[in-house]
Amino acid sequence: MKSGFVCLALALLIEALLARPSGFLPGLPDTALHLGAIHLLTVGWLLQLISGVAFWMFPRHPTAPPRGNERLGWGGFLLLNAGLMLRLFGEAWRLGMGGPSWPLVAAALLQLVAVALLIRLLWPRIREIRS
Amino acid sequence: MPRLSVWMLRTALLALLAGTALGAWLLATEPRYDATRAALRDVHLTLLLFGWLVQFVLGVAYWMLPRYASAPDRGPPWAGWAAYATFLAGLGLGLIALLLPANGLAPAGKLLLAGATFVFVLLLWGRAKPFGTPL
Repeated sequence: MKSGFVCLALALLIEALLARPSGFLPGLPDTALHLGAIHLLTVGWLLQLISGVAFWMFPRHPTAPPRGNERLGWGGFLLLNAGLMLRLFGEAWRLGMGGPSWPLVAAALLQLVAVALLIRLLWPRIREIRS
Repeated sequence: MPRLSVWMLRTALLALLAGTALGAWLLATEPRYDATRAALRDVHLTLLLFGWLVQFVLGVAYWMLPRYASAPDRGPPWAGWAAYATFLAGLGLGLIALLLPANGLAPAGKLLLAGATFVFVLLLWGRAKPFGTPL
């Protein structure tokens, strides 16, 4: 949740940077910044906030550990944020300075594995409870 | 958690996985640009916005909002199931329309998505009340 809010703040800062006066920091690639900001909002903030609340509030397992294997959650959290940051810098590097594509490939893989881990963690806790 | 929410949340997670996998492929294969990629980017957006986000939020709201005092405590279940089926039909048609753009399915898909969401809003509307207000 806290890193989600950091992503939200970072995305808004980047969007503010996109409105800079022409001639100020001309080397910054606006396309990369805009794409990065959108993914910080949708993946970094929304997905992370929703996953965090779901991990907290979804029905708990009747046996220990009640919220499932927390290592899956930490793994997903670390990989997701690493992938997001790698994407942010990798895309700016590639579009702004002709950098290589490997950071984007790595960022894509990290985020995909992170989402798979989060789904693996949450899936068994989505279950019918009669009330 | 009611059975309808279980189905909606699990479908939403599958859409999240599919949308993320497609987005990861698009990111990893940059900087290729062509018409197919533009359509796939729209599929990525549709899967994640409607398939994942909207469906997940509606499913959680259907589960967690305050319930009516008398049965059916979450409103008529058939309406929820009908809206879920219509939502999926609209999503499916929308995705097909993005991949086969000349088939005229896009308006039908969007209409079904909007109609299903409207039914969910009606179902949830009466359950969104301040604390202490009788339902």
